[in-house]
Amino acid sequence: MNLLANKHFANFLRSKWYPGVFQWPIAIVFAFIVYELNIGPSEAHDNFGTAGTWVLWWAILPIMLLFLGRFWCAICPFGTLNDIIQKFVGNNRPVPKFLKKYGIWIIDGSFIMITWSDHIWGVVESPRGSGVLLLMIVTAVVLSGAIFERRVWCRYLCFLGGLSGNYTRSGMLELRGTPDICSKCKVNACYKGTEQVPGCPMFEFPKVMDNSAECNLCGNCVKNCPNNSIKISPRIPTKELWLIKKPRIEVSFLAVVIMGIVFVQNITMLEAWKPLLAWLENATGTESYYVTFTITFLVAMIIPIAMLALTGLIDGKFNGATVKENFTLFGYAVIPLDMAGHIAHNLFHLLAEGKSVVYTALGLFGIETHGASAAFVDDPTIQMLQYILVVIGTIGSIYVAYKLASASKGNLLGTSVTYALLMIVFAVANIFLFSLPMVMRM
Amino acid sequence: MRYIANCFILVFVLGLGSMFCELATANIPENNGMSKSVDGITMVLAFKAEKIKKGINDLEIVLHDEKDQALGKANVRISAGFDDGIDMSNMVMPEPRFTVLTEGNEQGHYVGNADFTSAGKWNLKIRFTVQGQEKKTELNIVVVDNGPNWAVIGGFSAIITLIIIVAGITKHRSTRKEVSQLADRA
Repeated sequence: MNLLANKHFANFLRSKWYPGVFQWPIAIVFAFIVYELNIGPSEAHDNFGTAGTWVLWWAILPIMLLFLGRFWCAICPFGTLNDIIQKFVGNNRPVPKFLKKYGIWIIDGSFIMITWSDHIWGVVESPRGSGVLLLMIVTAVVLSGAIFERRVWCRYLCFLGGLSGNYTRSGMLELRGTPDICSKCKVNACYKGTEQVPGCPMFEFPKVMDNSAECNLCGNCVKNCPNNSIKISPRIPTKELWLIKKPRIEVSFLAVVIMGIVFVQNITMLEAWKPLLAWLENATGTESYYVTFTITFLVAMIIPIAMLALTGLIDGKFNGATVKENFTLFGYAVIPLDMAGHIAHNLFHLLAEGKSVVYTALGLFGIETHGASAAFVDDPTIQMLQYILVVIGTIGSIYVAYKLASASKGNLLGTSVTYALLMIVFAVANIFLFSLPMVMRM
Repeated sequence: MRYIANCFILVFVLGLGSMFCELATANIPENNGMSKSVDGITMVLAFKAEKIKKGINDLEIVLHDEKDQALGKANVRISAGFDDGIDMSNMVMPEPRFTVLTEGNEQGHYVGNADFTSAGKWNLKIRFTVQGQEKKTELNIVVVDNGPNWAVIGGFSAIITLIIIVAGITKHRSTRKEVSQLADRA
């Protein structure tokens, strides 16, 4: 099924209004959020910027990635800013080789650092902290747009790029060229662009594109293609993960690290976190949160990495592959459970604190709502939804592991069972954490 | 061109580095102790943050006797009241609610927090028990509003402006160079 076969949808995507009709309203809201975070109320529960960023946007981002792929990246205000800077003062330098080679590691590292610094300095809970974070990103985007061509920031540097790419691989929408048409094409306007519309901002070439990780559905290739070759199709979630031709260890590494990060996010929101912290303080002999949290953070990330490596070692008996080969390939199987755990975690913010977006927006007009519940539904309902999501994610991960095992050498049953057990362990850990009472962010 | 790109990156790294340092040091506990002596017992009150800001503030009280020995198990309690400048000495006021501090890792150290709901002058009432006798003292503090950090906002604005100006000049130069090269060829 090709969505571009629908005349109205195709016309909209080819029109000059797309994606600007989404970009500009979002850019205006974003500018106001930056203002609110830096200059508005200093308390998180009164600040529309905090609620809009961390309760609404951050919570729905993984859901958008599941249903719409990286469409958010096409309309992201940072991307829009990059385009504006580039248009007026951009020097359009080519991408440095080191970014092409190590960009994903930079993304992985910055994502881990930002998560760590959030806990250490309370970035999310502090409107000023969130404001400084956004200003830092704005500065980096301006710099990137001023120096480099296209959207180097989005492709090689954005700290969300790795996460977005991984979740999009598991998502329900894909853009591809039609091989028969593309093979005869000599123009390559989808990549190079035309006088009217620039080429792919994400450095993708639809003619040979075999994954959706970097496609932001900006529509440039649809507008530029003279042969009507581009197709946008819905697909079964996780389907792209079933046959990974060139697995990359950095992608698998991030997938398994995200599992650890979701564990950390859950652990620090538990009421049991304080006693655990006190125990750590006693064990380490320091009250420094820098030390105690860093230890927790490292342990939470190392455990899933070690478990995936150990499973790879065991699986080596069945498929004859090395630990690194198994880690690199089967790390992709963790992605559906990652996304499910992430959505489940964010569901708490969205459903238990979601009304704070409305309350803080009303607060902008002087309407006070102190004492009103910010929850849309009660905690048991949220927990039930979280469990359901984790179960769906686990099934997805087990199936991906099975499909990956089917496409590789060795004992299919042995490999499938080994990774199924790993996914079940991850799922049980997630369900256990979701079963404990959590404290709110706002 | 590489030189200009390096300049860009240097400005960016230095700018962000300084911002990051400011952010990083914002929550580091400072020794902003306020001390008071009650019947020979020295009480030192220190807040975790450099400035006492509106909202919940972590604090620590340290008690020492005349021989500078740390005093443990002193059942330290605090109560915070907003000082609105109205003289209420002749009025009968209800007993304020006290929060009990917990003993820290070191002998004589007591930790807890106080919630300052608004900016301005506040009065902290402190009670502790030594050898069965209750000791009382008070401290006046000033709570500041956690308003915009203009230095940070200004710093970022300056860096962004600088990047845009340098990029604009560089682009203008390279465009002129290209035009002159084309003219030469023609």
